[in-house]
Amino acid sequence: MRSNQTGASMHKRISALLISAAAFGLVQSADAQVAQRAPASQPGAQAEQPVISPEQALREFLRGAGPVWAGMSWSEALPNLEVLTIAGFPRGAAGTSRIAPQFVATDVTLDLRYKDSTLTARRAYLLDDHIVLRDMRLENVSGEMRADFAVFSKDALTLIGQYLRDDRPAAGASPLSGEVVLENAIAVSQEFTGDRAGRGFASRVAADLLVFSGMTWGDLERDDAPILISGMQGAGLSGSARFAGSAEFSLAKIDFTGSVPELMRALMQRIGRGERAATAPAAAVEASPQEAQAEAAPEAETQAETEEAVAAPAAPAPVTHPFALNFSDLAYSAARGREAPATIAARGGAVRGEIEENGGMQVTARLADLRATTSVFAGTPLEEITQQIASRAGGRDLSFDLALDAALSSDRLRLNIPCVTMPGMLDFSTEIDVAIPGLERMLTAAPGGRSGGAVDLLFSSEARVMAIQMVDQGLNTVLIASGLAPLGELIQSTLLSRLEGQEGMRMMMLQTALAPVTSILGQYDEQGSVALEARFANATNLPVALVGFLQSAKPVESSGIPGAARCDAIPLVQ
Amino acid sequence: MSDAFTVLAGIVALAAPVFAGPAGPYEAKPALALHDTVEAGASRSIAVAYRDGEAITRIGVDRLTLRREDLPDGFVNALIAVEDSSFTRHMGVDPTGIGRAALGIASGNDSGGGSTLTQQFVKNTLAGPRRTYERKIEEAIAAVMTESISTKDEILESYANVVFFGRRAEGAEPAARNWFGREWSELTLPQNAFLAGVLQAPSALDPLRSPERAKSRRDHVLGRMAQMEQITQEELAQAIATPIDVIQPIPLPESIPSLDDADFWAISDARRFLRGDNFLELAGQEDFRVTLDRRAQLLGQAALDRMLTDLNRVTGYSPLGNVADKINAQRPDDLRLVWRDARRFVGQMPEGSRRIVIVNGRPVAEPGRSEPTPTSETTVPRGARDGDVYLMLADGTIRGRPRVQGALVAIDVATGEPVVSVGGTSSWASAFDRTRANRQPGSSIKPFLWLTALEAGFRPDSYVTNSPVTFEVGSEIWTPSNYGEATYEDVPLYHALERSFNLVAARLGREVGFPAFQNLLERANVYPPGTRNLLYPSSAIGAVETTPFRMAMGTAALDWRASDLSQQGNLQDLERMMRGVVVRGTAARAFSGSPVPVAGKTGTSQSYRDAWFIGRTGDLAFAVWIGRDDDRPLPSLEGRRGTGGALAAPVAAQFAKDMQEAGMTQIALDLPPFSGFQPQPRVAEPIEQIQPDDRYYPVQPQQRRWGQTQSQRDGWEEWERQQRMQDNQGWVPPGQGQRSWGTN
Repeated sequence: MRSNQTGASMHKRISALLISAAAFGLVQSADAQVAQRAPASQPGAQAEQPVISPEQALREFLRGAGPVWAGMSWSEALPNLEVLTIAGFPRGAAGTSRIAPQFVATDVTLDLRYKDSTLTARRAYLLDDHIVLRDMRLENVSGEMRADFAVFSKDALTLIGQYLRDDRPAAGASPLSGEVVLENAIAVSQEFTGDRAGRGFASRVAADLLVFSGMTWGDLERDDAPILISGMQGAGLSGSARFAGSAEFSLAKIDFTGSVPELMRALMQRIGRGERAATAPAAAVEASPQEAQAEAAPEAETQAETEEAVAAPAAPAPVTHPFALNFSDLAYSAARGREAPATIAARGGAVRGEIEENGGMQVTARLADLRATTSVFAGTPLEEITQQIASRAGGRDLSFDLALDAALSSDRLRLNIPCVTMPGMLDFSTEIDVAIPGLERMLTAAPGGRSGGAVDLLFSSEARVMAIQMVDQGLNTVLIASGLAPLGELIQSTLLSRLEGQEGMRMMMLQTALAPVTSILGQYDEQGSVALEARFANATNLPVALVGFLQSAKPVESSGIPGAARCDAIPLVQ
Repeated sequence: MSDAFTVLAGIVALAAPVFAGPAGPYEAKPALALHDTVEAGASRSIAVAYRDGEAITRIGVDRLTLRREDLPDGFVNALIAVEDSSFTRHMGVDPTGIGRAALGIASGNDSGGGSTLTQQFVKNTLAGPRRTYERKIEEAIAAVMTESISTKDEILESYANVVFFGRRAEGAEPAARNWFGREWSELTLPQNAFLAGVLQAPSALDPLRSPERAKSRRDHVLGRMAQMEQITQEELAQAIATPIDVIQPIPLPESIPSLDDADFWAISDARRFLRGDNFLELAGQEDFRVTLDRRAQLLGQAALDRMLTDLNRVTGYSPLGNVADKINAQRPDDLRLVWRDARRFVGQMPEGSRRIVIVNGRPVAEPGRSEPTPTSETTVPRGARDGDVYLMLADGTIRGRPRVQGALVAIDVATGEPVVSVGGTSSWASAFDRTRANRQPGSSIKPFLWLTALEAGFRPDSYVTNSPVTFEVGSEIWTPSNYGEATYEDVPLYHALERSFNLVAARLGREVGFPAFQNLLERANVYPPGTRNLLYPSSAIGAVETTPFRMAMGTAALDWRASDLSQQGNLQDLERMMRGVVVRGTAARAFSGSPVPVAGKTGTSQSYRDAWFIGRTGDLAFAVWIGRDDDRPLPSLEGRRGTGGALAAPVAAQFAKDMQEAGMTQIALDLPPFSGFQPQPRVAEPIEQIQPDDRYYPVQPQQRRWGQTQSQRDGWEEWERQQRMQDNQGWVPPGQGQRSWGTN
């Protein structure tokens, strides 16, 4: 299956890697072969190309690729007898459209020392540092994978071999960067329990196209260094499975760039659970003045550090980890027996951004027309409430649309959510631009830090924009029907509970600050909507700005939130 | 209406081909371990007997499994309360538990936890070392898979059948008896709570070792049950006030009498048929009879033992283990820890034997018995160090692990069934059955090549040149050589077999073609179909490993009376030639004076690592292998190098003689050895040797040729000229084998 959306953007990107002929016309006719080979037969040309046997070529190719690729046998090896028509892979970038492989082998069999696997291919072509397989088939106890066409770079083979044997290279070894391309690939897996009933799984997934690029080892200093993939593109994905029930899915397209392990590591640092959890800023917040003084560096050392700092070059730019994920036309359904299937579908989604190791983060996201039947939540505590939400929206489905643009640096938060629409629950939009100098310290402080820091933070912060619009579409009704209080009341009680234990001036200040908030929340509960907005030409002290912001509270016009109405019109991020 | 469970199960099922499929990094699969299944470890014992019904012993254990209904609800409730309170609601994984575990791993504070009962169960079914996060992912995938195909009761039953309850209770069935001396149905609430809690750390929570920890854990379980309103506060208080009344553990025997070696290898043979997938079914039978004959088995063991005893006297025995780190330098008399560890190294012992440890250079016997006892006359094994563990046998000799081992397999050629299968000596020290060990057969493979040649039109008196031959293997070359110099003579085929000429074998292989050779080897069952490397020229001199069992089977297939491996005439010719090996060839000395006509072939692999003899009488085929498990060279014996003729052939000769005297081989060979050529003198010393067995020398042809002096090059030219002449003027082979050397 290949959707219309697949072709243009996907193939544009992958054409550098793939043969473009409709039927993957790798092998030309015999006449064409002769024509292609003619120039190579010229005197001199032959001398430049040392003749090596297929075995030598293969051995050279597999040198260092790891002992997983244990043995190869072939019934026929015919070097240079067939000429490939290549549209850019792997020499296309150099402008060569036609190349001859080092050898072509038929009926190739590889025994892999991994899951007792056998890899076979009707044809194998060695093309410089890539190996191309036609009618590839990988079989082992876990199932079978087939592909009409597969390309593995030498680095990819090496990486996979190293990974499967848990044989990582030493830190400091030359970095590898592997690529794998699969066309018309199908993976089939069957697993049985072996008991008398023979119950088990049978499932298959298929893809018109899969490209994995930028395969490399992660941080080799770590014991659990993973293999990272910096890019993955897929088109025409589908699958079906049978177990006690059945399930199927389809996905027209998915692209991902970024390194998941690196992103996770950066995120963990961001929330203070990584290596930076006990860094100086956090410790400074926690330490008492006496402790801080006791831990202060001796004067001489301070002087030396100062001199070094003066002499040192400017700090390097922070390390950033960009990422992007796009998908379109997702459909998933699962059913048990003859019951109506539970389904999830989305027109598309995208998220892109980057995470900086110094704490900054930028994210742009769009999720378009996500829909799910309420049965997705059946059997969980959310079952009843989701049914009520769907009922309020006038149907049996849940739906959700979101557009988000956020940037968070060490001292500034800019957040723009032009629309969140959840039929049966609420519509929501917000725009915030505030500078919070102590935010980083707050985020990295361990739980239990001095709560008084929040007040300091408030008074040292500045705002440029603060705007929120919220329209109840049935959320309060659902909450009340569920035995809970309306949303505003819930938030109020939560805030007030935080005041327990406070005394004196601090208590008075907090009560004063929260009074208008509780008033506005009450307004939302009573009138079903609320809109607040404050914009300033220059950065304004946050408490002052808050006064204007809270005073602007009013119901949303009957036409609803303008942004929410345009949610469908916001394009997917590309 | 489908539900969230189905949604999650569907996602996992669809992801299975990607993450746990053929190319996936994980190995997750659904699992169940229901009552009385192999997966639950169910087993029963079965009597094993020789072919005539004489009992050997019982194998298997009467390990029982149980059903969910055999478990009291009190235990199940306690288990759920303490291990997985949302068991009845989750889908194999608990999202909140996963979240906690993920954060723990990410922050480097992986304290475990987060696993549901289903995950804990499937964890027992996953094998192999994995990184922590990979293991967790595999568990999660397998748990959802399992939940999607089974009921909660089935999962509980599976869990109970595989977890370790302590007190040697693998699975729940014996747990109640081993801890409380009762059946499950008789347990009280606090006893159920204890068993649910002890799973966390069965050894550390033993009340006899740590009464406070055990009570704390049990009371915690009871508290959880009360929180979940499974019991009332009154029941809680009453249960907490109850002491934990476990019984004393049943002590393990310090040693178990070992089987006689002959019986041990017979049992080893039986285990090949009583596998996991059919054991339960066969265990229902009265007994299982192997095809082995007890008298023949004893004779085979005795013949092999006699040679191995002589050889191990030369090499000395290696210790069974070393416990030097348990010898207390300050209190050398306190050997309690020493004996505890020594028992680990040898548990099954010959009757009447006793453990010995070397302390301060002298053997010290394990207390508990008075005989046998080391005396001042007792000889300490050569090379023994302090802490080395040995056995003192009933006759007072000290024995360790034999360094030289062997195997003997005999086949009834009429039925093709093994009648003897001896996998080594001193099975109490080393249980490895060498009848199935893969070793290089060396020249004992040659009868099969000679038969291939006969099938290709050669005759026993066809002449073959015994001069150097070189093969091109890819870009490299391989040159076999004889024990001595090449004779440059033309020799008849039968003489080449008797003298085991490697150069002739290599030429034969080239002429008949290695595919034909491979085909015959596979038809004879010497190798399984599709064996790699048989197309290499070195397969002609036995460089490709196979087992003594297969060699014996192959030898049986050479019998012209019962086999259709080849035309009867070819098999008869081969028997004549193999008879010559025994009469005047490399096995002549071993069979000198033997009353039993035997046809056979010796074999020795590179550097005397393997010594072979394969042979036949009229109704019995056998293979004898002598070698070391560590693949080091065999020692010389009485001045003779460790060849097949010197070590293996005498074992075969003794065995054949004993079998004939016992009336167990009755059909004599009556074909005379081939003598169409001038009779060869009797060979005083066996001549058989394979030069370094490298598949090929890593030398390019040109380097080899031009890296020599002028005179050497001249010699090379001359040799090549002679070679061409011989190739053109010598016998004309009927096959169309490829020549390595051209005729330019």
